[in-house]
Amino acid sequence: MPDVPSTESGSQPQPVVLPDSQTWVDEFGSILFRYAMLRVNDAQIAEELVQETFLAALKSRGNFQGKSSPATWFVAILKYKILDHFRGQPAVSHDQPALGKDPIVDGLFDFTLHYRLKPCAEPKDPADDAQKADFWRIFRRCLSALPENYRRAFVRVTVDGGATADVCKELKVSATNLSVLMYRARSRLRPCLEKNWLGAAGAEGAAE
Amino acid sequence: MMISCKKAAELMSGKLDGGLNGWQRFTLKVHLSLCSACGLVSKQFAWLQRMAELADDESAAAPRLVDENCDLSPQAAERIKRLMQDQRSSASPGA
Repeated sequence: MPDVPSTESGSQPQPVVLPDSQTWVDEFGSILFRYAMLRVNDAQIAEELVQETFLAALKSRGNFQGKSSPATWFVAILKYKILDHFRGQPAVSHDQPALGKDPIVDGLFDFTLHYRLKPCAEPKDPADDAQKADFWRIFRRCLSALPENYRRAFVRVTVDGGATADVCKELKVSATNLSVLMYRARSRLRPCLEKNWLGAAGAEGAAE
Repeated sequence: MMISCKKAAELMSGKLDGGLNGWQRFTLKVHLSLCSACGLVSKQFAWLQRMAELADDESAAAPRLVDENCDLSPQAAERIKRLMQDQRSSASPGA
């Protein structure tokens, strides 16, 4: 019976146990897939990473301590797989576009470097917005309109967080280029969300 | 010494990532005190930052930034189950 969690100290009840590995894919497959999709933005690669995660988890399920939820444990393994994946990727594909000009971001300003289109909408209460499915749909759409290197930098920095030095190493960009990527990502997301959410007078008016 | 709105936006972004020196913070502050358009941009940037942080919920794995219909395909799920089964049987011969 390979699926019984290791019970060397049989008298001590574990706070959380891993469910039977037969159920993992159905129970956690899509959670892990979505997690990977946000980071790698490629369904085939995301599937492979999820696959590697489950196979690694199967091998090391004896190490599950029950200190975190099973989902958190699987995600922790997936994080390593994602790191591994990007470690094998060439740096140029991420670094190069950052060095060129971005006509969309530059186009926000006139020749005096003032805003061509004045920002006009006050942000709303974040906690309130976060409750609205429409907001996330629009956010996803604005995010997916970004060039991939901007998107990835933005997700890595704002969603995953952590030290800038680690982010630079992972994305294989200099600190200067990372700040350019972030500036451009924010500068494209801001007017997109202003137009489709902040200035759209509520969720209903902001349809696709 | 008044910086442009474009430069101010670059500094706002840098500030959110904690990368400004004292002089940069000062020039940004001066600009923001005089330019209402950039004041609004600054608020919108801060709001955007907060929303991105709220995208990850407590389960640490359900990012609201991914389509909720974005599921692991049935084909991939079957393949993974099969591979897991292979690994199980090779780990315990005779099972």
